[in-house]
Amino acid sequence: MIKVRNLTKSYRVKGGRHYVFQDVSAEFPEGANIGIIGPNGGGKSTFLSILGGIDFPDEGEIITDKTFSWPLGLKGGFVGHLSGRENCRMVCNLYGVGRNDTAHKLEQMKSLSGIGKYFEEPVKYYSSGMGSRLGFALSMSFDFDYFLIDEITSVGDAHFKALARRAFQEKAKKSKMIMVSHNMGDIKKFCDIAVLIKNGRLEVFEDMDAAIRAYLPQTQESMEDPAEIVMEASLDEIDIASVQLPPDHEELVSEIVIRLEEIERKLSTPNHQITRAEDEFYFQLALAYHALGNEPRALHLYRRAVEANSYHLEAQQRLATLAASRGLLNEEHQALVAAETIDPLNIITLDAKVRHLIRLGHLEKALDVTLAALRVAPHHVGFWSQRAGLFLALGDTAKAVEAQIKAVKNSPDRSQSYQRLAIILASAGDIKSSALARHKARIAAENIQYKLKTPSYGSLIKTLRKLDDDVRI
Amino acid sequence: MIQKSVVFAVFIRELNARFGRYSIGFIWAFLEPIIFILTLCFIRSRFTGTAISGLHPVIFFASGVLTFFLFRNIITTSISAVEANQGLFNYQRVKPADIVVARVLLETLIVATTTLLLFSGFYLAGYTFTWNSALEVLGVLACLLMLAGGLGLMGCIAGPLWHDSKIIVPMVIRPFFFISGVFYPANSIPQPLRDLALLNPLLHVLELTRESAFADYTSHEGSWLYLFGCSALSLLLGLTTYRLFRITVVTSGYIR
Repeated sequence: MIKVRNLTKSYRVKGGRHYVFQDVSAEFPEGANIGIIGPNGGGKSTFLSILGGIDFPDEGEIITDKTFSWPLGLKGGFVGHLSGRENCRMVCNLYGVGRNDTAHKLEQMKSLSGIGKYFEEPVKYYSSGMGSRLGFALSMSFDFDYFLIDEITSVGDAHFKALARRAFQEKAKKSKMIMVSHNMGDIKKFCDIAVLIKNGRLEVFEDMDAAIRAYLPQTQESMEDPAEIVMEASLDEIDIASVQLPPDHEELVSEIVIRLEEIERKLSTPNHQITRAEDEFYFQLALAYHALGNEPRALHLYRRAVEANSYHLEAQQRLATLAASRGLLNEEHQALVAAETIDPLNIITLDAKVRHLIRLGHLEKALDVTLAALRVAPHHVGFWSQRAGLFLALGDTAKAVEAQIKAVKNSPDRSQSYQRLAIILASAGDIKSSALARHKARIAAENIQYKLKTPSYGSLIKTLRKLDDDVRI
Repeated sequence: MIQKSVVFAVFIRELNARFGRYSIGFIWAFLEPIIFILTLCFIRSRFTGTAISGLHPVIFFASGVLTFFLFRNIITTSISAVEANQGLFNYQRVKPADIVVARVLLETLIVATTTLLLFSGFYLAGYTFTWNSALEVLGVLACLLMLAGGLGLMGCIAGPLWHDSKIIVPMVIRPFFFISGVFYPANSIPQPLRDLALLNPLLHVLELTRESAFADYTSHEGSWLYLFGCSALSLLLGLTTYRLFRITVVTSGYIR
């Protein structure tokens, strides 16, 4: 039983007292490993010291029938000019261990701590890691109901951690621990319940995740009541009507609208007839939709084109691209297989295939495909760049740099290529060259006049007029 | 007896600290009284060269200096007892009093060893004396330890709570070297002053020490009753102070 009753603890600070605990009461469940969490300076270590009986509250008390170890911390509570052995012997003396037992325990401590010959050296020459190892080994040779552990799990290599865990597991039948840690992973791994010490309060959580949520900062929901979020929206809200199309565009766009309506109306009639090759008709119509930005409709029409003629290469390629952008990886795969049977070395197909393989996570296969593609088109910037990205992902930074340099060589003015080169160089650890590449990217970017793409309405109109003619009822 | 093993552990640790491998403490513990004794002998021999109240000057000064040093060292080391051993309070069994007791034991041991060595030396050099009563010597020693131990307990509380005590207490003790009969017998003090000087219990300690140890000593001013009363009072005050503040001195938030 561990009961905290009306605990108050304060420190003298300039101009008054700082209260770590103010009239705190709590009870800890029996037989649980307890993890103490909370912000720095919140009183975790003070609480541990009070439990361990080496610090005292201003008021209140801790009622318990258990025994507690001294708090095991990084400092270790050693006398600096004495050797590790002498320090350990002193603690054995403190706890009244007999002479023979002491000799036995000292050897145990030496081997568990794993500090070797340093055991005979003065503790002041120890690193903090060695100090806490020895402190841990020392306390493990005594029996307590609770071991008080202050941030100790954060030090030590994996080997020591494994040893420590085993030593503690042997103890675990009789002993429990109360540990302070900033590492929530450790707290969750070692402890059954959590105690949050924050803002002068002390809260016991049986649910570890709830404790961690209460401690770690949480993103708050928007102040507005979610139920009141308005889902409806209208274009009027963003004032798009205030811009005007150029006069010629206005005419073209309205004709496009009319033509498309007309074509769709005819297509929806059961008895319509298409007077030219069906695959080409659907493909052209799909291209038009694709150019205008109606991707769902374009995708549907590419499918129709492919249904009519599965050997339509471009249709297959575009179908693959659109399918991928909508997350239909299976359909993309099928289209690519079809496209490959038509022309296994087609650049566009290979490019789509590389992207497809990357999406599936088959990086090595993707790398092979880029190699095949470069045999066909040795100066293709895209493939060099893809290769660089793939090498980087696979961890071969040297090869990544080489590939990206090839990409830059084949596109001397492309800002993006330099930008990627900068990233890859930095990843390879060459920050200086990376900075140069980045600067070059900036210069290249300044020389480019970006033109926003608008569909070329003129040619679209021509296509649509023809398509309109091709469908008859 | 938990506290026995704690005192033992602290004693060993203190022994190590004082006489550790890199410490000149060992030499100094013996050298300091010898220097004082030689200096006193040197000054004295320039004026008179004869016995002091029936004792050879060397023996007279040695007994005075060693007794005074025991008193002084117990108090001054007690003041720093808590702060010099902060690390030890990491172990809940260690209480400030354990360190005071260990230090009292250690100082007693050091002075006893020094005394044994010096007086063996004197014996070989031909400065002889007639031994009086070992029991009485132990009696004075007990009173001295009570007196100094009580003050030491107060000191171990004062040290951490009142920082100036580390400077003030040695300053207060220093004049006692001159008024406690370290280098003169009590019966050499002219009368109106003598009664005043005899209010100082340390003068009684020195008188009774010499009286108990040496059969030839001719000054008989020391009072067992007065010394015992003062010692008991000191111990009582020391224990009371300790009881009231023993938690405070090891509680964080009070000591800066």
